[in-house]
Amino acid sequence: MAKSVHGTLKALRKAVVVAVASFEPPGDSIGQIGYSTGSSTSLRRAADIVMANSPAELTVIYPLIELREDTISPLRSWTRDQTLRASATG
Amino acid sequence: MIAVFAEADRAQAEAMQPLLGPNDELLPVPERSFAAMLNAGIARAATPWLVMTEGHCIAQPGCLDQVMRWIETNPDDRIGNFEFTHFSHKTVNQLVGRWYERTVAQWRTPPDWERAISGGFAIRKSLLDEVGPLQPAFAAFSPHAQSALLHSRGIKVVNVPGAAVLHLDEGSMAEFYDSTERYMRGEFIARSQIDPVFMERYFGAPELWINRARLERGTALAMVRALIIAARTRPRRAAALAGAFASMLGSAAGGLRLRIALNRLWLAFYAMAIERLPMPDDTRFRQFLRSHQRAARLAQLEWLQENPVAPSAGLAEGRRAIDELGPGDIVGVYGLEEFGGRRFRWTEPVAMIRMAARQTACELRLETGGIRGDPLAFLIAVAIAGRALPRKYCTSDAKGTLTIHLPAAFAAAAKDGVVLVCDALVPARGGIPDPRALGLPVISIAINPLP
Repeated sequence: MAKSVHGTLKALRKAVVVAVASFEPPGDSIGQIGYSTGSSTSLRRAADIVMANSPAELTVIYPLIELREDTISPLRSWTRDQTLRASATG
Repeated sequence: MIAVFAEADRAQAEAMQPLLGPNDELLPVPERSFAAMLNAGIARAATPWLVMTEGHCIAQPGCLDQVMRWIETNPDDRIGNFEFTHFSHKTVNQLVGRWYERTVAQWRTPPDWERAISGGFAIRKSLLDEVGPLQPAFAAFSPHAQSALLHSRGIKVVNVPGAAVLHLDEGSMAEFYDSTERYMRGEFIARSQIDPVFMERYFGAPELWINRARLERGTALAMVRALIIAARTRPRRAAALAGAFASMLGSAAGGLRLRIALNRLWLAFYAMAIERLPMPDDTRFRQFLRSHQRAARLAQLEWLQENPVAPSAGLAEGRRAIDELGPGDIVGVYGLEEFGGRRFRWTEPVAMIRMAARQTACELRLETGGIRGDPLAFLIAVAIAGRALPRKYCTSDAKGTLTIHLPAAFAAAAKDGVVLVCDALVPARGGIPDPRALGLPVISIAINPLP
């Protein structure tokens, strides 16, 4: 069963607030939101831990049909990795 | 995220596995059907909120974060649409993007209604449990049918601020026609299964659908014949009947096959012109809209060719309100309307009422509510089996009810249709933005025996 993106996001916000996070997605400006810099794995690890205990609240249903020209970007955009990145960059 | 794939696409889905995170999963379904895929994903999900999307939609950065904020700050909202942007690097992409925006804007403008846009919206899962799954048989129309069900339960669709999706539009006219066809066929399948009054309320009344019995060659010919009879019996009105005659002759002479073939040819021409010929943007867009209408019409005609109208027994004795009449009972009508709280349909200037076979005299009563004044003032002729009914058999009363007395000989012939020919009322001539040519407003039809 897929777990919650919402849970991930909620957990991430908390993680960011308590300054556990240090995640620098490529191409994004870390300075805009005042995070400390560091390795991306540390944030993911922290998020995974928090998420394991958070209530699942939102699931994306993505159908692999009518993919059109770009078959990769749509799926990738809805994955947890991208969600993490989006949340971290606000 | 649950990425649902059809078994036939397993290799493609497995190639995408490396893109998934630890909490994402691939879910196989037997069929390559948008609705079946979403249903499987919904059944699998265990969260109170779902985000629905399409295979060609790219979540923009922060999209889900915005959804989450919206859920937190609007606890009473239950469905929220995302914003859509379009990536237009080809001519057809641009046209489809423009059309898409226009269509969505139309849905948001009353009296239309806002529906969940399947490219990206968030919904409480409990709502889907209430209205049931999407209908795979309705194909691309299934999310719209579900939206109508939700709307009929008073559930309002709002917008989720800041949640955006990039919609990859069709890149060629062939692809766009294909999408149109899947939507149109799905709509007609839905119309064949869902209460017609409900469907008309939410999706209007396509002329081909409500008058599908006219596609039977005999019906169209009988209506043309009635026009000729009307012109002979009332020569002064002949000129006024010319327009109706010209438009009906096409359906009577052509037949479905020819019309389908002509529409296909037109579409091929449109596709070539839109994709390749140089022309100003607005002209190209106008051609695009016309070709879209033609593609929809072609899909409707093809569906109707595969699913002809079941033979109708015709109207038996008794009174029926207009919304109780089926396509085999009255031919040549427009969508349902209301006047003074009562439902009615305008007929076209030439309309046919089909009665059950009978051997005895009867009267046919058409309640018009006086919406167009005295019906006798604009009724040109009544034709039955190629004969004009003498005028003395038609009467009207102060309430605008038209009574047509049918002596036994005419009643016996009426099983093939009673054709009413009226002077056309054209609202556009009075400056009203309504392109229709109207005949008789009909609230109800009654057939009563005569001694």
